[in-house]
Amino acid sequence: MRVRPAPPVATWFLKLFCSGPEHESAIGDLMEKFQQGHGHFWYWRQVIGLVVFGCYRNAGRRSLELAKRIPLKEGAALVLSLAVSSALLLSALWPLILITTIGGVVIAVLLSSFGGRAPIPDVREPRIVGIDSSKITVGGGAGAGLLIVLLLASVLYELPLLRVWASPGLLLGVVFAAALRFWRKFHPRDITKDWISIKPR
Amino acid sequence: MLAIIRIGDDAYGVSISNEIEETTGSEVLLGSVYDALARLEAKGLIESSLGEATPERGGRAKRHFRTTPKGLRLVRETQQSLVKLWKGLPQLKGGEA
Repeated sequence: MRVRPAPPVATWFLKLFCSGPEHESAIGDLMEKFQQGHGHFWYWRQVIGLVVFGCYRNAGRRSLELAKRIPLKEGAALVLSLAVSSALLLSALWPLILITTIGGVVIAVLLSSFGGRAPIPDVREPRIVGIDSSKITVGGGAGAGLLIVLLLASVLYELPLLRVWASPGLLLGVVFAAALRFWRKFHPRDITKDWISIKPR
Repeated sequence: MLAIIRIGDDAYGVSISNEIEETTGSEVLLGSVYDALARLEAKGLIESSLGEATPERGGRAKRHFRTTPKGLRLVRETQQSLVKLWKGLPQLKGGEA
């Protein structure tokens, strides 16, 4: 019997979120139903359904701590890789996607070469201290997730405007992040907190 | 639960979703089916066991589901409750509605 290959990006996306042994039979069922003659669009919808319901179930099982944070670098790398992978589906804009991907890899290499974060001066102003921006909050992660869902929706529902703007938006985000990183590196004393605000003199 | 009972011994994700689709006439997400099955299993109404793997499943094993005595009892009780509720609907008497 000839086995029809499933959409590889969708399968990768599924394995990314549903890799545990408890998901094996569900993935097998999806493969089996796909072999019965369903299309790629059906497969994508089922994948998203499995991921959403799987995540919902896991969230219910472990009590999600709102204060839980993940390190900025790892979180940004995860969000960037997910967003770029989603953008890879936007086949009409391959050159921009290629630039975005290469840019992301270059930034990752530069970040790992230069080592840790730039030193932040001790700031005494009461309004400025108190925010640890070296971590991504759950809200930030949810925002990034929303962006990814939007990108996937643009692919699934063929929204032409989103397709046109998604990759340039990603590219601008990468450029902005790189510019901010280099500004922080060479002007550490001018920055009071590593968001965007500059210390007034 | 009803789909599992209707299918019998060969109740697994694909057969259950096919049964629901054929009965209701609308497409279902495998994710929602598995979500419901996980909740039913957590409540002890059904139980599962791993079956055989096939090439079209990418070498992954099937998970077969069957109802527990507790689940069957609950289905009977629910059926009786529904029958009582249907009997109490005056609008449906005499084919008016």
